[in-house]
Amino acid sequence: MKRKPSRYLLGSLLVGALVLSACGSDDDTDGGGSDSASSPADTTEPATASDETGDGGTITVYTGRHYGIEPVFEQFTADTGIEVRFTTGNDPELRERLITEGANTPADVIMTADAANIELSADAGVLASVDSDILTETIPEDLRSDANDWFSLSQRARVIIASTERAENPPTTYADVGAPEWQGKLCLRPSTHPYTQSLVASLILAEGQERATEIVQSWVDNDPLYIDSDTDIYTAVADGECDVAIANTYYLGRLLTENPDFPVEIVWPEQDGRGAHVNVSTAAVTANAPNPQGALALIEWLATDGQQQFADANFEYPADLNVQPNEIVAGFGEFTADLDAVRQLGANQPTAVEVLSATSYQ
Amino acid sequence: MQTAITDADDGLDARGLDGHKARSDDDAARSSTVSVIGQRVRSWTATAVVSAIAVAVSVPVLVIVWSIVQPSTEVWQELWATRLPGMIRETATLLITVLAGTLLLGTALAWLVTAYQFPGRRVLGWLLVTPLAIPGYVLGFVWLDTLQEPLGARSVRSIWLCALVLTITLYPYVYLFARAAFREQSQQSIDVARSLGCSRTKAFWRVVLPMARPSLAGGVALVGMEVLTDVGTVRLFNVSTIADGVLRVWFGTGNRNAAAELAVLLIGVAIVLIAAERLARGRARFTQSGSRAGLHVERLRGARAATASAIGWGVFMFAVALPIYRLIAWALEARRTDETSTVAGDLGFHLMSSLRVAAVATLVCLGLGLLLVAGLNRRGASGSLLARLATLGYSVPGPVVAIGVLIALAAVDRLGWLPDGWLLVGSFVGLIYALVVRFLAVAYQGIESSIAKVSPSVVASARTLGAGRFRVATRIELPLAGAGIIAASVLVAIDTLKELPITLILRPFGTETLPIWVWQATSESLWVQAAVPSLAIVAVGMVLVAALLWALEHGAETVS
Amino acid sequence: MNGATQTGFLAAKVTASVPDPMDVTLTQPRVALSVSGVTRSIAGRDVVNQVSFDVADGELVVIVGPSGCGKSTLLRAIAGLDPIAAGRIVLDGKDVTAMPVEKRRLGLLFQDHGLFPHRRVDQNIAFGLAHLGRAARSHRVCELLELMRLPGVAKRYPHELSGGEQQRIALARALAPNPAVVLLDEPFASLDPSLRDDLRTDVIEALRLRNAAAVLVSHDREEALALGDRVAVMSKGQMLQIDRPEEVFERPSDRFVATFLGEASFLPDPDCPDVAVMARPHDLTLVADGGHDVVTARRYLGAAWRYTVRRFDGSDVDVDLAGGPGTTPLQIGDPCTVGVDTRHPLHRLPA
Repeated sequence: MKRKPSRYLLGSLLVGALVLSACGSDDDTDGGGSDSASSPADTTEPATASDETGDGGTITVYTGRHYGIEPVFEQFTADTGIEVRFTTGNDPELRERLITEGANTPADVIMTADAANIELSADAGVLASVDSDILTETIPEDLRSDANDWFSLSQRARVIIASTERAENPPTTYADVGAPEWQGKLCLRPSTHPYTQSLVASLILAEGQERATEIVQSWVDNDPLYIDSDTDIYTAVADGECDVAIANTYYLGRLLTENPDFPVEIVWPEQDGRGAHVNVSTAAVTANAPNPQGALALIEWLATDGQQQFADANFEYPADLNVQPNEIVAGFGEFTADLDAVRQLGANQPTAVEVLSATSYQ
Repeated sequence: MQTAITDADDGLDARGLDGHKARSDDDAARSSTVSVIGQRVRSWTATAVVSAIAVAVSVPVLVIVWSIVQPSTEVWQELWATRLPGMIRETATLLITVLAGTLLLGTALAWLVTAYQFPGRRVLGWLLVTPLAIPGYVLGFVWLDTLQEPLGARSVRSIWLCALVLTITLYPYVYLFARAAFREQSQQSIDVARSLGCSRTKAFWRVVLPMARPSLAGGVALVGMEVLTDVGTVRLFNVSTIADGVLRVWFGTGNRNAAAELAVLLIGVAIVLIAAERLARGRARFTQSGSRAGLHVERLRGARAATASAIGWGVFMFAVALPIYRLIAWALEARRTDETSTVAGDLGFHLMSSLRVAAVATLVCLGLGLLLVAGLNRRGASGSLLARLATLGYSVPGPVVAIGVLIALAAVDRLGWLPDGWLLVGSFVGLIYALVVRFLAVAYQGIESSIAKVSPSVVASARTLGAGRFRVATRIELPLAGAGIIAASVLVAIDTLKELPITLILRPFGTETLPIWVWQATSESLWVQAAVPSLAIVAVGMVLVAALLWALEHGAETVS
Repeated sequence: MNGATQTGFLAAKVTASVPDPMDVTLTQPRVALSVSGVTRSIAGRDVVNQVSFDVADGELVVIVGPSGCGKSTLLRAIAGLDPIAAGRIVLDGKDVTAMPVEKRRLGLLFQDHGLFPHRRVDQNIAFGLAHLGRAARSHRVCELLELMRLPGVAKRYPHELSGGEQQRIALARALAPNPAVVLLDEPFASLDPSLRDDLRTDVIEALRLRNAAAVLVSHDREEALALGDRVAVMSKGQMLQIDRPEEVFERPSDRFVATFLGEASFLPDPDCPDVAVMARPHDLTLVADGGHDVVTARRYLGAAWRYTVRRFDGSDVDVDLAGGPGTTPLQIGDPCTVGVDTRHPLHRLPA
């Protein structure tokens, strides 16, 4: 009696698993469920951007910016008829994958949440140069690469935030964040995150490596609390764990939606100088895209009809400077952005990592 | 899993989970010629198959390791000057703390439920295994958020809290091994020790615990692997371990070589740990001769019984019940506030993905594990090497395995062997392959020790009654070892269910597992939205843990 | 006492039962172990029921009985491993009834040596010597290894020894702390018969040299008769008889003891109707003279032929006739007559 159950259990597990694997994913929202090797792109004809609804083909997207992206793609499909299947992941991992796949990649578009990563992809030669009037007209020069192989779709400012209750004279430059008065009252994001790396890269661009190292060192000397989440940084400021921090503006958007009286304010840094550091969400057509026309269609749509939705979904600023950000974001105030630096963030990223390492920034 | 206490052990020692009856040394010697599955299969096909499996499974790791041939000195120098000492220090601290913690907690709890009888002891014995069902990164963010208010944001992100979280999620490994070892022991050794002047307590320390040492070492080795390769939990607490450093260097500087060198350092540490334990053991054996009586169970009454119960239930509350309660509260909140997403639909889809991946990966590991055991048993030095190759993936962090697999599969894709347009990268097969590379070790060890414990006289009788080798293998050995094999499979299933980094990088379209959902929420610090998938993972995990416990209960009875 | 080398257990036993005339202190040996009225119940049943006996220094008492008679339980109770419901145990002059195991000074030897597998031989033997200094410990270890005639194995592990060696080491370990009493639970049962004799000799000699009192539990009656200074027969929790081997064998207190210790036939006493005469096979004669008794079975024992004979009154008796060259064995079916060898008096029991 004891032995038989083992056998039958093994057997039924086997059968059950085979049944499970035989069933494809029926109700997946990403489309194209595959059971063994992934099947080739469904299109045999490359689609053009202006295809009729319903027969537009499919594009495959690797996107590091995953928050709220699905409704945007759904809108795109509704507008153009092109199906989107996408996979999310971390920017650098997606980049590695794209590079490793080489000519066999199924990806048509790669989207990142950070400028440095897309630059590194461009350096690796996996992006395609695109000739599109729509894009060159809509996206400012500073926010797209010289070779026109990647384009920003939205901006996010990484600014100084301060407690409305306790910070009387919040710093107005990134260097001032390292001032001794903020000793023990500072919250920063760890060096592992691209946001921090890009910020330091912008410092290097603006002040040179030596001065940038000094600035970062002054931050580290203030004994900051390292929190790997901007939301938690905001919460920490609100709760009194720190008075001053550096974080992205868009998280405040989410927090204000929940609580309009959230006691944290944005202090636009470097307004007398180069402007606040901005990073961008980008998109690019891949060099080996199976459906380059469809890919281009997506990016053009995102730069035009989809701009508002794309930016609003994450409380970011549209790249197209003519498009207005949403109410809450607009409520943050007008500001000067350091757009010049954007395209060079990628080139300075390895140096930034070095600087962070040298100053023992956690 | 059963304990195979033999001198020649491969890779990580085969360790027991469900207890076994001691076998004499004569039995051990005889089994090499009598066991069918274990019998040394001399044919060339067997050698080819086994070598093919071992090589195929080790290629992704070797690809990464190969870069050690061209060391990149400047990066190393820079690392040494800056982060590496800190990484080594933090890894060592974490490792030692968690190893000590799990050893203490697991052994103490196992002793509590084995040697004493008190109300609710049986149920508690099961419940204490359930932390296995909760991934470290889930428990991590639950505690991070819960303790943020009382402790403050600064103190909550500490290496000690990280160690605590890891200890809680990993102690069940030691607990299971210790429990098996204690069940195995006979009261006789304690009686003898007492007749020689040891009090009960002294007898525990001088006799019971030392004799349980190989099992305890096995459990601790598993814990050590998990700690060394963890990347999810440590990030939450700002702890920079070597594994975290691998990712940091890789994705921060884009220097794959340097990252690979760090990965090799990790593997080296793992090997050193295991070798050290083996060396310390020396020539000693740990099985007792013949005696069948188990431990004498002492009935506790009154205050002592209450204390025992309190300890056990306290651990369970802290480790499992409270986090689940917190997750349920969040899940309800998510339902209340969330209008857009249809929770049920998403849940079903993600659940199916998870089950599919876990089921297939487990079966493949099971199949390959059986083949390996059949082909490798008692092959001597070459078998030992092949076994080590096959189990290499377990000592490497997930993302490293994923990238190695990526490189290997992309290379195959470039060769263009597959029919037009079909790719391995981004395919279900590719994902399963990566999971097998990572977790085959778990299946192999468990199967190996289960097969080894089947009594050779049973097999011999069957053969003299005319059963051919295949019949003996399928009708006698597999059913007898069956419970142990099921236990090993369940552990693989639990691991693949909770797995995140490999799935993140390699998953095909249409496969979004539950941990992916958790990641999507936690990467934006949206703990509330992470609650539902976390609970789903825990629920499935509980079912698997129940299956594991069932298998362990039955495993102990099928062999006599 | 420790003069000539002993060979064979018979020789050892013979020496043991004859006091050394040169030993003037051997007047009344001290009682090392006194068990009185010990009762142990398991689940309401008395597994050991009111057992009382004493063991003197240097004496070996063998407790023998069928499985389930309670002998092992009694041993465990004396050791203190199991609690007793009633009775007293006095060890080495001290009342140890309420004492835990570790405080009673006794040695334990089990059927399967019970050596600690993770410790070397010398560490095993030294286990109970924690109170000694290192030098004293290793001296005692050497001493005991000499005693067991295994001087070279100190650094080996138990699994590297043979079965007989393992039991010797186990005994050495038990003897190391100089216990007043040694308890042995079927110590020879798991060994090859060919090894048993040698081991028995060594064990007895070691105990003798230490002048330790010993209680040995066995299910083997021959072993019991051969080894014990006194033999105790137990059945169903009660100790039926305890006396010198020849007493117990030749003058058993009841039928159970009689039949347990050897083949016995009970013949009706012609004079007293409620008395039976106990006759061992060697007490009877058999003549193939065509009488009213019939041989129904026979067995060759080497030294003798054992015939089972169906008597005229329907009862069965066993008769041993010496074998050897020149004798013709009887056949099955041979009519014959059973007689009594009247050279020695026969024991009588109630019918």
